[in-house]
Amino acid sequence: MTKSNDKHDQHRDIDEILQEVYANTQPPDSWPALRERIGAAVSDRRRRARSEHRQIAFWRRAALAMAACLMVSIGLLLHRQAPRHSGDSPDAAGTAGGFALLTQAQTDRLVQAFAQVRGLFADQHPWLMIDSAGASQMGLTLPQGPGHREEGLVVLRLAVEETGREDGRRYADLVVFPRQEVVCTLQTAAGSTIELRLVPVLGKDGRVDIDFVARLDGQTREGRVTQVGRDAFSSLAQLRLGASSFNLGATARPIPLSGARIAL
Amino acid sequence: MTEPSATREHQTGDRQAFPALVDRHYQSVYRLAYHYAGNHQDAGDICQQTFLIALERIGSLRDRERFEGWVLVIASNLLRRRIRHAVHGRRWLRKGRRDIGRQADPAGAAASCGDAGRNERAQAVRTALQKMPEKMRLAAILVLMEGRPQKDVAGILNCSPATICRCVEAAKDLLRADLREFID
Repeated sequence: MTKSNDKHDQHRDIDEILQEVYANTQPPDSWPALRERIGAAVSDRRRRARSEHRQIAFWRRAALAMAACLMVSIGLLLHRQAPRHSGDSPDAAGTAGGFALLTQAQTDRLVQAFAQVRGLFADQHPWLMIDSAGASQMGLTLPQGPGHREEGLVVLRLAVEETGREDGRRYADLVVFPRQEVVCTLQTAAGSTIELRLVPVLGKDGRVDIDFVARLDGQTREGRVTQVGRDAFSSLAQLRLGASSFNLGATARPIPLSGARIAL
Repeated sequence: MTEPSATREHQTGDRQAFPALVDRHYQSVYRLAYHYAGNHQDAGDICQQTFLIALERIGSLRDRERFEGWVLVIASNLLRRRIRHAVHGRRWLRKGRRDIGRQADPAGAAASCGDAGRNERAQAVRTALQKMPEKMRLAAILVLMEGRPQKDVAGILNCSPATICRCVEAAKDLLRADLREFID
């Protein structure tokens, strides 16, 4: 009987044999042991990936710091070169219709520099301001809303004028991405500091609107100026300090991003 | 948790979803690797490597319902790449053929006559598979042993269903010849 069963066990259809061999295949230790090994390898890979992610974050931060240094250097360089190359005094900017603080060539170089370094900042965008009082400011902020990368840059010229004083005008050129919030300060000729928070908004027809909040000695003015002039200053706000009155104005020029991008 | 939802949940960052996918498929990957390589050590390595690659690349898997087929594609590519690796490939194959002779029932010593017969059949199948060309061997394992549809296997091995049909028929002839002592 046993012999007959063995015989039956040995002789069968080929598909049956293959499926039996397949079903009886198992690791030498056990399935749970193999599962445990795979689980350990997966966990180990995840741990390593997290560690690599942390390293990438570190190097990204280092690159960010280096890019910031680069931006400051570019700003300082442009600021030092501006009066020599432009040949215009800052006071003539409003009437000349051009940009005395930044010439066209310097603006183009700055735009190119922005195009090259912006990849280092990930979602953050840089802005840079150079003023005629001899200071430069820069920062990184998140743009408000999508599509900012394709829109290019906006070069704003800000002017602070003390009413009734011909020599009381101070200028600042601000290079910024559309819909990017900038928080900066402007010096008046009298030495007071205006704190300014502004967001340029680029319209489809190329016009620039500015949302702003200006603060001087406790007074705050806020609002939106639509269709800021390209060649003539549009008034943003009037601020008072004691007996003096200051007019804050701006011109705006949208510039498409140009120049080679560095793949990062 | 269904396979597409487990895949989607892993892709969206759920860490518990990937182990569920491993649980579901590690045995079929291991069996494929074992019958292709012919030894447990390489089968374990390939199985482990397959899931590590799947972990890295799961984000690129668009059709979430095809996780199993995708994992088997990874495993079969690893197996083929490994065997094609010139010098190592030859050693690996020789090792596989040597190991076939040594391997006994993994569950332990075969005590009964039934186990002895089963071991003999398993050994004969492994030896026959090792004689086959790589595509025929993969087709034989996936179609004849796992029972997958030929159309699915054609997708996994990136060839036409007609090619798989020819491979399977040729593999069956070879197996019939090598296993004739066990067949009615």
